[in-house]
Amino acid sequence: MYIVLIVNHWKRSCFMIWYLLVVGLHIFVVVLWTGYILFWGIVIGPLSQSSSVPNAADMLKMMNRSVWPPALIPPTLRLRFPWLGWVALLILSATGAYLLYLRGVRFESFVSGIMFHSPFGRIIAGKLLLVIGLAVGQLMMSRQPTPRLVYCNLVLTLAVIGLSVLLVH
Amino acid sequence: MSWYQLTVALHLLAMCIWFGHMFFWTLVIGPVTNRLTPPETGQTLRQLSLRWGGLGWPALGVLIITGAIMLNSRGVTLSEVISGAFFTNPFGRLLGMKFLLVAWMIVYQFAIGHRAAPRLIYINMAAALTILVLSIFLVRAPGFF
Repeated sequence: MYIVLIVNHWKRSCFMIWYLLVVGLHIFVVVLWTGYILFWGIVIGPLSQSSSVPNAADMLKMMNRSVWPPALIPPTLRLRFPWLGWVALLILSATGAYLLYLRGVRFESFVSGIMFHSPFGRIIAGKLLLVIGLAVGQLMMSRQPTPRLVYCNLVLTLAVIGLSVLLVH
Repeated sequence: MSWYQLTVALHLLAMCIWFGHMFFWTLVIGPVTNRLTPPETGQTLRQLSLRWGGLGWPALGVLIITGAIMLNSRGVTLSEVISGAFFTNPFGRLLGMKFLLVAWMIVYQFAIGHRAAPRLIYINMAAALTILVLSIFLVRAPGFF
């Protein structure tokens, strides 16, 4: 009897630690992603209008595209983690899908559209649309990061965070 | 969206802005600006970032105000915190650790700010990460310990 109780308690604790790790990773990547978008928002925009650093805007644009094709980018301008934006989106999608699964959301209800009949489902739908918008924005930014696009991505990021709060609280 | 949800959203946003800027600049952008030639370009980029990115203090203000509101909505009063009665349970002790780490980050912000601190910045980032972990425990698993 006691052994069963101990084993159950141990299983619950392990699951809780695993769940907290996934939540922690999700939130940590959100923080990094916000920093990434914010950096372009507060530096690229003003830089493109600044005359004090003639080549800086071009340099930063190059740094944003520094992985592909790498041969075109001078080594000094290569970012330490140039793939950060895409990896962040991938981790956010994977951990987000897993957290939804833990809340009982199944792929079938998602595909059939049953999930979207509830307010919770509609918020998820809104969040998914915004995340798709972020991925498109990221794709366009990797080609040409214009200030308007950067600010648009920043607003989308803030909206996703707002919807996430509605989902969780 | 209720007032409580708005408060949580603002708290999260301020946290993302403060920590996100710190992590991204230190880990990703900083090393590149150090390698730019001529060095003045990197210096100017850093100055521009400070001029336009001085979001640390406003974010901190939002975090303290929204944090206090959220604690109040959970039934925590100022007198409990001052008397120390609040810190007698596990939830209070976790929150006490979070307060200490936030106090460290405020001291860092005062003493170092945006000046270069090659070693201390990593301690500051470790403090930020621990605050993040503690916050997740406080919200998602308050009865875990």
